[in-house]
Amino acid sequence: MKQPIVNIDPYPITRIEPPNNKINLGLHELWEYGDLIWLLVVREIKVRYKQTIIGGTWAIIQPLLTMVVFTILFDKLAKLPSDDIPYPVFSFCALVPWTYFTHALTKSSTSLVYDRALLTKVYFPRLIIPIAAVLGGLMDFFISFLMLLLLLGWYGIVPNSSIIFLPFFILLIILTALAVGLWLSAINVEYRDVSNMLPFLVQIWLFITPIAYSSTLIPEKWQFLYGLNPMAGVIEGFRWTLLNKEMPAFSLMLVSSLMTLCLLIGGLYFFKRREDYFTDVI
Amino acid sequence: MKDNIAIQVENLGKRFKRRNYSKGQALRHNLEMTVHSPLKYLTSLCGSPSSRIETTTNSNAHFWALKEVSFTIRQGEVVGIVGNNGAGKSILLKILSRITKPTTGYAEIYGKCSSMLEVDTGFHKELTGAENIFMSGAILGMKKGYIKEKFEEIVNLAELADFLHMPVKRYSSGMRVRLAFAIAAQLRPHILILDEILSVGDHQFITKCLRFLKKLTDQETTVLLVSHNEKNILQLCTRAFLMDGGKLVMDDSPEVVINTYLRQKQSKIELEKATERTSLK
Repeated sequence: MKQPIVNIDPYPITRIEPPNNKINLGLHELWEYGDLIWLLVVREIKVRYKQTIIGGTWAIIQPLLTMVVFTILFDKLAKLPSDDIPYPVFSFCALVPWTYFTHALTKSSTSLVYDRALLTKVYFPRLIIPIAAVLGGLMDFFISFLMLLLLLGWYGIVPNSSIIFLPFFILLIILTALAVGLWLSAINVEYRDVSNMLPFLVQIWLFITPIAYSSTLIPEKWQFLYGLNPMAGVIEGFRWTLLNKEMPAFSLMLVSSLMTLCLLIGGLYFFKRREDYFTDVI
Repeated sequence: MKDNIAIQVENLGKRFKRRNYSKGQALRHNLEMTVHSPLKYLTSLCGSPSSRIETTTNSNAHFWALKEVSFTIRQGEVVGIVGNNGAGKSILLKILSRITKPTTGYAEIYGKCSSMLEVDTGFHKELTGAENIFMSGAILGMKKGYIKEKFEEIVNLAELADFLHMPVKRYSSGMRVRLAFAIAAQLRPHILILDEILSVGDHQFITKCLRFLKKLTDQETTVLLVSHNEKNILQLCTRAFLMDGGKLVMDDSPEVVINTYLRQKQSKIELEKATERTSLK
């Protein structure tokens, strides 16, 4: 070994070493790359509707048509109870966050593979990629959210003071999509099985989340277990804050929030552990 | 200034797993392991991917793409790397650019380092030329304000003023290279790493590149570059490395290294010809 070298100020020193067990989230570095996150989010939004005729209208059409189908199937035919709220607004209020969630989840899970050209040619904190993918869908979310407000007005529903909790649920949905996206994107780098599994996963997840039905259908003693699906808490939270519904079971909310937190911390840890090998196996 | 160190590399090595099994096999192996010894599998998940399949592999399953490489580059030096395909040149540059991590040893980089391992890094084909200037610039590590400031200059240098709002996918490859170069020319790093950049464009492009590199090296920028064009190395570099089989086999003046490299190449060709002749007989 040679003698250690005296640093030449003000030049920064970068030390490159084999992977070790130290986990450094590098949040400070992430902050420095803020410009790049922003550009990738803008890229995501711009590229999405390039060469389309109706552009951003797509953001509204998807949840709107699903709502129409749901209303015919579950309200008119199956006559599912919707807690005394007109079924169209009941389901649309869930479909808006749900559409964002599935989009953010799918994009972030496949993001590393989609951007492999970047990954294998330049250095930047790898976390940027799934984060930007999750944030990129927010534009669509806000467009369809405006549509939801219009629908609320149409049915004469005015949210009460519980609406101050809405930002919390929006944050929760972003974090849930990011948490699952971190896990799946890191696995997808090595095993493309994830890409094949995703549509199926989203479909199953739709059924175990109170989108077409209300979580009040679930017996009280199962609410805790039902809350293990973090989206259950988010969707009921949206209905509570926007539709003047009474507050959903607290245990459901708590379990959902804790579940998201666990998934997120675990996902960050897992992602950080795997990222040193991304370019070797992608 | 001349004596300050820019890059210090010590015993650097990179080992790869030979991928002669199918992906399905690897997944099945992992699934089996999950069933047999779930705890062991979970802990190994957090380790390196190669350690997971260790049990079924033999010594032949790994190879060293880079082995026991050590050198010191001082500020202002322009170092050219030559060697045949698979000699480990690109992997060395990838480790120094922090794209992949080494298996052994370490490297220390003193100063701001920019690397271009490909000409149009960060371009998105659906975005317009103007949008891609910001995209590619940010990816190369420039701040937004700096790109805005240099925007005019980039457009003029690329000679693409009329095509700025056209998606890059409709550009010719020449236009793309010109734009990419115009962006990269705004970089002011302490250390610049280049992989085969000089081999993509036409004569005019290469002349432009060389002029840009000359300007940088005049300002004490350290350059590390891989090129298959021996003439460029002789013209630009103050020092050269010869790599073979993942090892650094020669570290000398460009003239000496290029001579050795060309002689090696020549003798290899003769050897091939000779074996061909004997096999024909």
